[in-house]
Amino acid sequence: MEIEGQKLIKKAIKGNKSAFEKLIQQHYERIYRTAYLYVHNEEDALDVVQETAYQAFTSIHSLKNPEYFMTWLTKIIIRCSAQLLKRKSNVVPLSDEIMSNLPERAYPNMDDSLQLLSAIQQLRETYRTAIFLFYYYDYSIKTISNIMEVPESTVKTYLSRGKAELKKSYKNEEDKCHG
Amino acid sequence: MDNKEIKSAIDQIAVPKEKVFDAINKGLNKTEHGGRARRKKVLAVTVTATAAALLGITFASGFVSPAMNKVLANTPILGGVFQEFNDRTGVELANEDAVTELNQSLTRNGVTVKLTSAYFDGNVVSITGFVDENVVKGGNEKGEVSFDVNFEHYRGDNDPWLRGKSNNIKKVETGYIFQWKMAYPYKSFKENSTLPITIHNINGIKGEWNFDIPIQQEKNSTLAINTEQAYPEDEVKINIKEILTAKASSSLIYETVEKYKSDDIYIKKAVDNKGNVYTFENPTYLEESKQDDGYHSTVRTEMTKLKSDITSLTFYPHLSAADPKVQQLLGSKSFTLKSTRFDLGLQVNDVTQTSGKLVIDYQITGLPKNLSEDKLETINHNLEYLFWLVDKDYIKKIDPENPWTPKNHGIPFNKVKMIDKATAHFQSTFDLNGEERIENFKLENTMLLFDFSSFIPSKELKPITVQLPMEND
Repeated sequence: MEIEGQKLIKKAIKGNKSAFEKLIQQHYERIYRTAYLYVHNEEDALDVVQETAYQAFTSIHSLKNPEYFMTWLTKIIIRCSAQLLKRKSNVVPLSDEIMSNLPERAYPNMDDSLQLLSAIQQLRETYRTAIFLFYYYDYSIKTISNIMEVPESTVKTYLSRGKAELKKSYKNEEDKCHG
Repeated sequence: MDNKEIKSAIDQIAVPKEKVFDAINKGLNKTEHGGRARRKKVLAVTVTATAAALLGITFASGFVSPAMNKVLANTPILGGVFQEFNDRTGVELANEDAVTELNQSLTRNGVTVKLTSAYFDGNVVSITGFVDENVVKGGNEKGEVSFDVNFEHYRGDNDPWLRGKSNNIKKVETGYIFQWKMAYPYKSFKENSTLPITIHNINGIKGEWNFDIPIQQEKNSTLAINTEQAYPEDEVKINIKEILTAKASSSLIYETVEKYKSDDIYIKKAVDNKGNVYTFENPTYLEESKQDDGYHSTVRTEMTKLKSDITSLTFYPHLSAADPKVQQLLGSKSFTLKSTRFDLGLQVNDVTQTSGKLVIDYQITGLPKNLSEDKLETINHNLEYLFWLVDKDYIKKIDPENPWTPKNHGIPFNKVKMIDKATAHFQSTFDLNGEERIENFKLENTMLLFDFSSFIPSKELKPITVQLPMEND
């Protein structure tokens, strides 16, 4: 499986489009969820997926070490998400409609897992990125520092602060629910 | 809280597999034509997705209602193909015998392509076909079929038929069936015409497969409306011009007049006097021009088929207003920038450059009082993207159609620190040695650009109600 993956990556680096498509498809859930964590809605997440596929394919020839495919791709997803947020010009529009869609108090009865998800989505971007790369992708601090282009110590700070904030808002929700 | 909990939380994000695969495919096909989507195109894609979402998950997930199933039970084979692709318009037209059956087939390099049907209803042109299993000998992996196709002898990306084209493909016993749906790209409809199709290659196997497909539709019935609504405060006008009704769908034609070119007006829905809700599809831009009173665009968009026995229709337009970027050379340490359109300002208190960093200290003026914590967070987040630093000699290099900072001559991001909530006081720090940077950075040669657009919520414009002439039949 690993070896087959490596083969695909090597083919993709040589410009084989179908190998590349297959490779991306293998990770479709991860790519989509990562995008979604930034843009918070399906249509934008799909736009990010599209742009990621485009940018990744046009630059994969520059990927020197196949082992780093996934971290390299993750960087592109994050960059594309940021670009989309920017390019939509009304970045995260301040309309009340959108604000009220923020899940914070919209679903008092949702289960723990959804509460935690909404708490993650509300984290500030750097904390959120660090948290999901660490817990969801299982990346090492070193890899995260490479993806986020910040020192390892900063990643550690993001993680601990992010976790503290998560605990705070997550616990708050729990209190509201049970209390 | 551990990684398992976080994982299962993130796993709660439902992934629409087919749509994701489709997006991947679209991304890759962008490379095929060597071009990037223009902004308008991107916008259009977004609008489609919204409309699809409004149309309901039933449609997207392939769920067919019991009533539909009953209809389908009596449908000839053609209807079955449309059912495969969840195409309700197709099913309805097949039931009314309004789909042209085709039997054109060509074999090139051992691969046979057969076109099986075409319909042209309202704004939509559909073509279905079959390609035999020899396509797997091409470069693609099993299960993948990609066509490099053009219409009307256009070449590459510069083909108006590709702008609103969507593809669907299904494996069948001896090959693959496919459907292409296109938004009719021209202003006036011809009742009968021929659409030349050139397939250059399939999965990398070279053709050419050339077809001429008759596309025809009976005359649409036209309901002239011509009701103009002006919104002087927002400096836009909307003219609801007409509704064309074909056999299975309707299209709305309207014109917008905007003082600011990047304003985006879209019609979210319409409701008739009986409470029926109409949704809108991907808009096709028929005409765009700059005139004395602003930028005019004439748009045609597919809508839910208009009911015949209604007397009025109310449209719900939305405006996402744009504010042109304002700019200032960084020679001075303090200055104020005003929004062109809104009562907002950026008051810069200080600009300092220290070892590889540039720090700008500023306040946003004119924001509503008592902003909630949430809104401040959002502003804080947005500010990371609202400043651009651009080398003054490269300002003209910014492509207005696809604006971004020029490579090696601009910095589009910064890190934001909130200094004081009550006075909307922030500090932005730019990394002068980051991946996006300005070569030979000199403060006095650097232009600061600021975008106020994101402070303006997209707003619902006053609905437009039109009285419909009763039909004489």
